[in-house]
Amino acid sequence: VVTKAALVVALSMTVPAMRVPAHAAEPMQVVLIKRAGVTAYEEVAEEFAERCRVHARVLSFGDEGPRGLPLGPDVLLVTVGQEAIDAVAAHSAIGARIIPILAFHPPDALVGPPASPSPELILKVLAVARAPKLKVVGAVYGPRSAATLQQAAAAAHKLGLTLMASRVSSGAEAVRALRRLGPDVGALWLPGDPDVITPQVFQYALRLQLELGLPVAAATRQQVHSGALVAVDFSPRAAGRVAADLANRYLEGRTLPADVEKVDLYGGARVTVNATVARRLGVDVVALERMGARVE
Amino acid sequence: MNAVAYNRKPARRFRTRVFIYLLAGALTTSGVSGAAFYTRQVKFIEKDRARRANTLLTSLATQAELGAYAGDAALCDLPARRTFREEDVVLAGVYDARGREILRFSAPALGTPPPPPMALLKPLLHDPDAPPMRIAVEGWDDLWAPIVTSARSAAVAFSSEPGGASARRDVVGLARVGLSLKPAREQLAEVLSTGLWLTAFLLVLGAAASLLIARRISDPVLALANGADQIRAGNLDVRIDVASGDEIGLLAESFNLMAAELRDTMAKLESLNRGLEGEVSRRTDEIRRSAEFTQVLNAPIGATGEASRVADTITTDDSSRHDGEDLKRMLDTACSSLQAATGVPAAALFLTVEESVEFELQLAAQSGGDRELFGSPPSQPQIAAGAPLVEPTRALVPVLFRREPQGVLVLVDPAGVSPHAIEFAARAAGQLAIAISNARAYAALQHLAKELTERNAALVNQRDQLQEMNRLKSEFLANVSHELRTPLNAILGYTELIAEGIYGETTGEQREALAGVEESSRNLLTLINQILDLSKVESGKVEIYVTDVVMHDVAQHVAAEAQVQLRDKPIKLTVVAPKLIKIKTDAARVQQIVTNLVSNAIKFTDRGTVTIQVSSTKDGGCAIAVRDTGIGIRKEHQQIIFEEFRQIDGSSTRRYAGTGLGLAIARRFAQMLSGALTVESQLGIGSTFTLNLPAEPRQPARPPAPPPSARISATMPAVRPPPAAGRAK
Repeated sequence: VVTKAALVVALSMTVPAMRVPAHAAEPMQVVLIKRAGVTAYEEVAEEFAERCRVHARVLSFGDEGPRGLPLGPDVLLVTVGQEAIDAVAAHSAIGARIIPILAFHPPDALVGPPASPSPELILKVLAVARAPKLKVVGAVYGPRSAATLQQAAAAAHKLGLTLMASRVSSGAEAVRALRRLGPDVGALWLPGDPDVITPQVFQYALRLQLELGLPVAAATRQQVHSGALVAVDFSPRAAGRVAADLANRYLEGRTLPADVEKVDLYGGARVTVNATVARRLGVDVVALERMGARVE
Repeated sequence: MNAVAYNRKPARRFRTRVFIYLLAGALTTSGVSGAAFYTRQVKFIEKDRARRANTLLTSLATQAELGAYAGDAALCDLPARRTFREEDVVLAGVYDARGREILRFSAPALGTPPPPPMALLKPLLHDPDAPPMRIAVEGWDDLWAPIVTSARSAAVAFSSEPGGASARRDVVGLARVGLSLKPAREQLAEVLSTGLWLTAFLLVLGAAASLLIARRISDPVLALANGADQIRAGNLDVRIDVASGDEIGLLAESFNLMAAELRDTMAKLESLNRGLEGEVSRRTDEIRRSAEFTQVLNAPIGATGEASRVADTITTDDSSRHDGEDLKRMLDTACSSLQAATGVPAAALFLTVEESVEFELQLAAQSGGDRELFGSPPSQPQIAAGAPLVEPTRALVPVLFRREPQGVLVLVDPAGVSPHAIEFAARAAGQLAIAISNARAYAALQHLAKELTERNAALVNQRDQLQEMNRLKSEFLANVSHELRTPLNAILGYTELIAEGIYGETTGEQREALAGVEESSRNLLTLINQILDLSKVESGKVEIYVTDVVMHDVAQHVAAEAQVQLRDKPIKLTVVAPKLIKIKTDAARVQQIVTNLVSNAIKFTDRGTVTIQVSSTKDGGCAIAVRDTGIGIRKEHQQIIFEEFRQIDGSSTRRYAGTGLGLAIARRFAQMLSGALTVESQLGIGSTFTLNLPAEPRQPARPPAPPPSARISATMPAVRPPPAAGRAK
């Protein structure tokens, strides 16, 4: 994973992402690459295709990875998810322009809409959910999400919480870390880092949520449906809309914004709460609803 | 009645055999049942043990999934400990994906069991679907199973799509369970013990049941056997006391019924025997009397042989012919015997006397009474019915032979005729009918023989008369011919002398008249000769002298004689006759036949040829064919010409003269020579007469002795015709 990320960074260095290409007037081919079979990604693709000014080709792939990947300077790639950007990097798509939609962006590499909101919002939701008992929030993270965890640590401090985060390199290590953190924390936060937050880690976190009463804050709304107490994420359609806007800008020869978040193209993150789990844990749902949370 | 006691003791007791059979069956059944029970239980225990091992392994693998995934002994502790707590588990452990031990609980007795070689574990580590592996160790089973987890992609995992991409399954570790064999062995021992007890119980139960069944079967059978013995010994009052309602009971009841019926039957049989003895005695007496009666019937006819007189006696009422004293005696004796046998005071026999279709009964014999005592005879329909007519004082028994009335027997008894007497008379009537019928048939036969004898005598007389007449006719013909020919020869001789001028010169007219006299005389002589020949043939006076004859010479001789006839006709006579053909025959007769044929050929041929052809035949004989180109003969006339005095043209104006005897005589001669004379002819073209002769005549060379007429004629001197006399037809 680290190797792939480094490769992505190297690729992105070769692309003058912030500038309008010299041959912008020439027709460009727009291709959206995503993993098949994920509903959120489908919503992203639909929204992007509707809003992109040119016809966007959608390339879905399975476990074997994408095939027939278009290459060249007249291609604009929109990758959805970590697997898509990893696949493009592995394919050495030199010369292509890339707009990634990722949970955790490599710093100063590619410009694209983030898939996860700020850690401060997540910690705030956990604080409200366990108020006033929550003092310590435990988290595991990998190399890709290290920057986000730094932001989270600052936000926790600002909220009067303690963030006990363990850096791990694999899911197995994450499980062991969670077992160690479990007795010492009042809630768990699982960032959307697929390198370390494997299904087994998520499963163990749910087990801790059940055995120890630790509220689990997950990365996606679907994880709430699987048993996590709460999740804070952006709408897939919003991500697709932002990506389409960026693509249109690029196609028009305009400069992409350096900080997409500041553009506030998303229209705000969404908070989803599992009503059943909340009832079992004794979480104040009303307070969360006041924050705009949607109880499902 | 006597109830039967079971007191017989056979050499081989049925009860013991039944008991042994049933006991063997019970033993076999018990053994098989025990074995089946044990086998089934063993299989059940093994299956249960395999199921339990699978359950324990699956449970441990499921619970230790996260522990194995994380390689964390703490996470594996609880599931492994829970598994180890099971009574029959001596080991529970979790191993990572490389086969390294994460956690293990084992019984102290096992010490530290080493893990199996990696070669054995590799299939489990690489195949998530590999079945559990079992390694047999002393006292326990070492069971291994893969710990499998799903490896869904992060995106899918985060999206938690239920219908997302299929998850890949990875082996993240191994679950190990040591299952002790002790509980299973204890269970097996318990099963074995139970099976043995069950078998023993079934055996005892079977033995008791066998004994009981054997007794229940054998006792009634013994009772039946004893009952049968007593019946055989003559004790028919025996009763078998078997009260069971089963088949044996039914058999005993049937046995008792059979004994009772046998008893009744024996009583009836004794009664019948007594009656039968009297009946046999009576019948014997009847047979004896019947035999005597039959002897009486047979005696007169066989003894005297005067059947005709007997027949006369019983077939006619002519008193003048009642001289058959034998029959009278027989009938009288028969009546006497019948009277004695039947015991009636009087008996009589009436016989039928046929009068055209109707018949009349007349008294033929009587015994013990006057004629008036027997009353009037019955009518014809009463007899024809065949049944005895019983009247108060007499009985009339018809005598029928093949339903034809022969007469009637009359039994008279003022006290009434007994049925036995009527029955005896009926049987006697049958025999009497045969005797009377035989006598009548014999009489008819005698009459017929007598008539035949008389007719034969008349026929013999007629035959003798005819023979005599025929002889006289032939003799007459011969004599007449002889007497005619003698003066005719004188006429011819004197006519020739006068014509030659011996008695003086004759004028032309005189010579013509003399020529007419000569010709008519010769014709008459020819006729007479032929009649004479025919009469000789018929009277048997012709004699055959067989010698070796060269047929060529015969043909040449005939041709030479025929030259006289050819003088005034344009006919060429040809002889075709090989010199080597020679047969045994009568040369004179052959020459006579051929001369006749050639003469006819010349006579009926105006111009052309006449051929005499001699050839040999296959049987060694020869054929002499005389072929002409004359007028020919119609087909329908070809047989007529061989009959005596027959000519085709019989009118008074016929063209060709002749007697009609030549060919008839020629055929007779040919037959006498064992040959045949045939003709083939076509009208207007010509005729061919063929004489076929055998190599030698089959008949005796000399005919048998001539009849008396021949003897008479033989004494007369034969008059030979002069050499010039022809023998034409």
